[in-house]
Amino acid sequence: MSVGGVRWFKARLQGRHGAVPWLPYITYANLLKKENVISSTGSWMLHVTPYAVLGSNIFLALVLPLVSVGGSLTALSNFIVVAAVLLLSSTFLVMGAFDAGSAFGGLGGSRAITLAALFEPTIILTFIALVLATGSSTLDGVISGQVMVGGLLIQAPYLVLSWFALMLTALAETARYPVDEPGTQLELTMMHEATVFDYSGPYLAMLEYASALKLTVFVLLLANLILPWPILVATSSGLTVFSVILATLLKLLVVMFVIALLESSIARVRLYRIQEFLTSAFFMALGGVSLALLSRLI
Amino acid sequence: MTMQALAIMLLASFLGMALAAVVASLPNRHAHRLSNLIVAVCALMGAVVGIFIATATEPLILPSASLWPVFYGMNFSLDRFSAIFYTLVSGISFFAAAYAIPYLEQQPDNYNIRNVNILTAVFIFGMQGVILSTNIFGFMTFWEIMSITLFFLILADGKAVSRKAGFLYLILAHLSTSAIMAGLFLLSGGALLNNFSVLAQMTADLPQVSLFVAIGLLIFGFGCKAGLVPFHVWLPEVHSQVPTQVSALLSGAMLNIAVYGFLRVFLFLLPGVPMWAVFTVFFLGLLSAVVGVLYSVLERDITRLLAYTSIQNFGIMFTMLGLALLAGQEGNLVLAQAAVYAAIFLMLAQAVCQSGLFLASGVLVAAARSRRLEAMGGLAKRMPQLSVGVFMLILGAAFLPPFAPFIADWIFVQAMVGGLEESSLRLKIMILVTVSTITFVTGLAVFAMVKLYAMAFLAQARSEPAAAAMQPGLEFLLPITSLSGLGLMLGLFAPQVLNGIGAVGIAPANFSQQILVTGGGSLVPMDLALFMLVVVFGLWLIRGLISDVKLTREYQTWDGGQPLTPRMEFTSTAFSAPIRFLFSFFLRTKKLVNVTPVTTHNRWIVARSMTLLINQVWYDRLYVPIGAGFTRLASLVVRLQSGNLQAYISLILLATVLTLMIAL
Amino acid sequence: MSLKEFLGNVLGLHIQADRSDLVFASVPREKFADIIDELVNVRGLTTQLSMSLDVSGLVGVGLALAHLYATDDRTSAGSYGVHALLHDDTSQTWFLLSTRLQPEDLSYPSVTRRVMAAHWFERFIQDMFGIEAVGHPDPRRLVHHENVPEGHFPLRKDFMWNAKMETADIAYPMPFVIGEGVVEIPLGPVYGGISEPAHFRLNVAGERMIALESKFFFTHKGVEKLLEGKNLPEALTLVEHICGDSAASHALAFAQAIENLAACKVSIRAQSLRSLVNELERVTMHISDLATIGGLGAGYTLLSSQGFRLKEQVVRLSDELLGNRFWRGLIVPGGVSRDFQANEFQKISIVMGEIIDEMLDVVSLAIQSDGLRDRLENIGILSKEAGLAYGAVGIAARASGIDRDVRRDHPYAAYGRFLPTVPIKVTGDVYARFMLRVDELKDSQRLIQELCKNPGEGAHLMPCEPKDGRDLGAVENGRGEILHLVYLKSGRIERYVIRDPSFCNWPLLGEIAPGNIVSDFPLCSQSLGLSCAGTDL
Repeated sequence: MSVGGVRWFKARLQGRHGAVPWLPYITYANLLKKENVISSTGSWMLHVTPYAVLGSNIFLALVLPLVSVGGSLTALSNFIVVAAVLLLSSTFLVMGAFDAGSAFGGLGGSRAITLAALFEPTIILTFIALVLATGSSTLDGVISGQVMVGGLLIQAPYLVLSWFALMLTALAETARYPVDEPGTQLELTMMHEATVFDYSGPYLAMLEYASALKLTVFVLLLANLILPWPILVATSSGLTVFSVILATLLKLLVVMFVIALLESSIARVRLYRIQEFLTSAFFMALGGVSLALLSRLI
Repeated sequence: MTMQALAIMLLASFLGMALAAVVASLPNRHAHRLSNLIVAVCALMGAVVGIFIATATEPLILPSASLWPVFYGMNFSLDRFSAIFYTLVSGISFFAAAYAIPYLEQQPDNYNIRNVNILTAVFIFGMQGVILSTNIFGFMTFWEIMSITLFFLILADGKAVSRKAGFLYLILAHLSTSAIMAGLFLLSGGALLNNFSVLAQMTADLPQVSLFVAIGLLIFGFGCKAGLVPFHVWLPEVHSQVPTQVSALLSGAMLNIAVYGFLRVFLFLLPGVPMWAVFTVFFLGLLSAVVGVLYSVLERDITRLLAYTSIQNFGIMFTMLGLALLAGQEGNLVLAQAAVYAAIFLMLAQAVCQSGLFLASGVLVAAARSRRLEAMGGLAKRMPQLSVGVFMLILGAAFLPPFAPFIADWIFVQAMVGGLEESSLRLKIMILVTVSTITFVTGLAVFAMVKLYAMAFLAQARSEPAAAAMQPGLEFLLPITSLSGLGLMLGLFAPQVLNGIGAVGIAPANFSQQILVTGGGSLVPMDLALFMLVVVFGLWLIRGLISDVKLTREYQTWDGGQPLTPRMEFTSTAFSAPIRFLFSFFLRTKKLVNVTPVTTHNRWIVARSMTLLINQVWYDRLYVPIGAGFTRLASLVVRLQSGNLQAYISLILLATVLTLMIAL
Repeated sequence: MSLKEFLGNVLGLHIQADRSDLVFASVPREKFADIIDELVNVRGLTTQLSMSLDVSGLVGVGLALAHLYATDDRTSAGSYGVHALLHDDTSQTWFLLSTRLQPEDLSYPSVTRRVMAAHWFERFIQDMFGIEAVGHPDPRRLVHHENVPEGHFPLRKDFMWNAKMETADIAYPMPFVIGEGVVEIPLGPVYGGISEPAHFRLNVAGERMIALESKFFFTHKGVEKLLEGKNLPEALTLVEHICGDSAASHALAFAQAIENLAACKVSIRAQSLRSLVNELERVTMHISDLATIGGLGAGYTLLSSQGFRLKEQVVRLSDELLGNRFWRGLIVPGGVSRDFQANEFQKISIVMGEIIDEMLDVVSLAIQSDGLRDRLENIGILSKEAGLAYGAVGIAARASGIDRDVRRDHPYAAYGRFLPTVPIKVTGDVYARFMLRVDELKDSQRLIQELCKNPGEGAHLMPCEPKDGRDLGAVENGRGEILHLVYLKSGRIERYVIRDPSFCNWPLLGEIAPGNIVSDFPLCSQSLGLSCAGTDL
């Protein structure tokens, strides 16, 4: 959903018609029907990777406060656990990429794991700022505490730096501009695409869906930091469910538009320029924490 | 179980090692199996006793031992604190011995099996003795036994590189032993036979100067033994030369002895740790963690890679301890306790994961007939069971949930975040630095471990021996997979374990039986693992329902029209290139490309070769100048041509002289 | 001292001159390589040959080895011929040096031992004729892949063009970098996008390329063989289909070779039309290359979307004028197949003026972007020295300061009346090759305007009877210098030699790519703008 949406907005922004936003779902459905061709070079890792990667992302989608807060799984949305599960999914993705034994898998895997590994401090620091601002160690608590009083970012404007750090993290984690080019055909410049290079059929559908799901997760998380309401809580009635669904769609649309705008207006950076991107994200996150600490002092 | 029975078991587990050494020296063809069997049984007994004592209320004192003339002047006992270490050392020794039986039989050409067995038993005996000793005399005696046997174990394969590594180790081990001895001399005022508990009361009256010198010497001594940067240079060299099971012992047990010594002195002996010492420990820890992880990302030699991972882990541990000391001084006791817990738990976790990985590396090296990762590959297909076991260890060593190292990391980071608000500005800054660094290190640890696993196990074999590798036998698989299982269990039952060792005396317990709570956060590792499992299982079911699982076909990896060869697989060198580039300001690796024209008159048709130089910054910038200085000094003193050996000998002489001067 | 005097007096060669700018000589095979070495590498002869030569001490500032090819003359002379075509920049003279080889001993001392430019030519001859260049530093097969059995030499007269060969499995080794941890990243010949079949191996130890090896000729068609025995109209059709984007220039080279041989006259108007279509083809190619480099290679998407749109407009103009999208079917020996009307000239002038203006606008917008310039500058540097040694032609040569352009050096068609300016860049990087195309685009715009304004008069087609013998046609297109050598015997083609610029410039990739990072490889290769169709003849 989010992937198709971003593509569509991007095409519109560049003056093209663009494919329908729900094209990815059609693709997944087609892929699921297709034969699953597995590299004969690989080991059991090739079979484990799609489940582990999609599983980790479903895990995140379930525990994070995306459309609902409260619930029995909230304890698992501890910020360190969330960061570790993100890393776990990258780990499996890269392992799977390597197992097929093609040079591109290795190339993409090496790039992907570099980013995932080096973004770890940024993610943790960003979350720490949120934790400090709300006093809750779970991301669920971070959002749910603010449902009735408006968004966290409105409550605590000093978190804007952390919000942007999270935005940059989201771009890197979901392999979008400026660190990766989701639409490229040149094997040599790929990152995420190269890691799923040797998958086909249902496994490819699972991996692609995992990546799309990750984008949706980040998009909703970013949106909920600004405006969580309306969101499902344990006591919600049927009418609220409906409004929540509508609101979620709206949130998705808005953030997808922002991402499409961003992607259309910047050029992809060369791999070795990523350090600038990385350090700026890190210092933004650090700044966010410092501001959060300062605000407590005052 | 009665104290009496435990005491007998403890004594048996300790003296059994000496017995094993004697048995190993017998000229009998069963001596090898028998001695290792004795070691294994005794170690298992020791571990059981250790667990009992660690969760008991009373320390276990062995009064009888001191009556024996051999142990003149020594006292042995096991309290709840040392019991953790005794369990650890014995437990790892059990796996090492079990592994040594088939492993050494495979390597009759490389090692003198008899000598290795004798030395290993004595080595374990020394380590156990260090933990059991309750006075400086015993502590130092066994410390020296442990250090010297390791030196001879390094020389066991008789190669020239081993001699070089051995002498490097000897110098640093001697310096560290001398420093510890001098430090303890100063603290005790020469009363070597007094029990530690007595000493603790004496140190309060020491003059500031001696305290200052003693603390400095002890930090150096224990830091050197634990492989902290910049005293770590011996560790990778030694790891790559000793037999595999000794590597496991080294990383899983001996380095922990250094932590034991450090904690024994800094938590129980000293009246209070001065701020400079706290910061020294803290920064040495951070430095070691960063340097360790960067070099483990870079290394292409599996044992050296793992050695740097050890350095990284001990760096994290010392960071935790340093922050704990700092938080304690600032009065933030919750953070201090949690950090110590995290350090102890990380120690257990790292011992399990690292020794498991070292044992596995022995199998891999034997299969590929090389320690180079570039000569492995494709082993997951050849050794599926082992690959699953190692994969679990890898996830553990990469600080990923739900394995034990992740839990230690979680406790530490969560406690720091929880303690952030109530801290002083200084502690706040330290916490932010630590959080950033530790997450950076754990992130890169993932990189290093992914690299290790991907290079060794995935894709096609890169060398002929690796392509012909066979599944290792159960005798190899069992020790390794049990360790991976242990790593998982330790993670899942972390609350229970921490609760059990809770009242160790370092800090009161605040973990319940099922749930970890610290710093405003909580975690139930079992829930986490179960939920992850449920999600993946559910996914598996759904996939089976909506798409035809049988519609699967194997085909070669897409090759773009030209056949793929193992040369086209990404290598470890290439894999770590982004990190090499991003941290080039520090790592200063050099890629030398040698271009030679194939004929004399046409310089455009060339053959190229490449070498990657991984510089050991510390070695080149710190050790080489110091070594050169000593060599010059030695040649002056001895007035002989400066041969290397003489330089070493005079260095040892000098060190001893210096020690005596400081001590007296 | 002129070249002829030097060749005659100093080297003692017996010179025959057919035309003022084309001289022949023949030497025994033992001296063949040495003389070429002497002429190309100019050892101690710089001052004698010419005062204006570059005396910076670089190798290869002597004559340029433009081509080295072989002929099977067993029926006429009972021997094989090996011929080197050299070009003297100073006197703008072609010099054809030949040697004869007896069928029982098909070997001669290799030229490549000292002259790099002969590298691929000699391997080509070895595959096609079985003539061994003794001492060649890299005597691997070139055109023949693993599946071609030993002992088959397609360009020998006794090899039938439709002969079926058994499938063999002979090693085609690719050199690689020795060293722990080096990876060979294989690329192609089958790609994810639309791309001609070429196989590259990037030797890396991370992101930076240490060496680049390549393998071509996956679609070798044997055009030179197919042309043998054809009459001229048949041959023209084949020649026009060698390479889709240089149909007109290949046709022009063919026509010029025939006309030179038979000394045919071509009217001024026909000459203008030929130059016009030559420039239109150049514009098509440059717009396409600029869009590819900036848009696909460097990821500046505006350039590719706009560039390919404009290119489409140009090829539609071709469709409108000539009935095909490739500027094909106009040039024939003796003139052009049809005359353009005044309104057509006007239309070309206006449409092309607008298209080029628009393209230049987009480009100037693009190069103001730091991101794009950063991607193009200091990437894929070809030194002048390497360019000279490898015998680089066209864009690649001129971007590295090698001042060669057949349009100016041997004016053909209307280039005598409308002088082209030949832009030169010296940095030799991707940016230089990019900007050189921009400069040439501007000059082409001017030439098109002038040609349309004043196309001259005369019959568009004059009779041209073929004459037996051999001659040369040289044309500069957007890629570089195209050479056609035709051997006619009783009105039919006895041997036809085609040297496409791609054949000379592909080896440059192995020189410019190492040292750059992997993701800049597409830029390196796109900036040369080469085709496989031209190489896999």
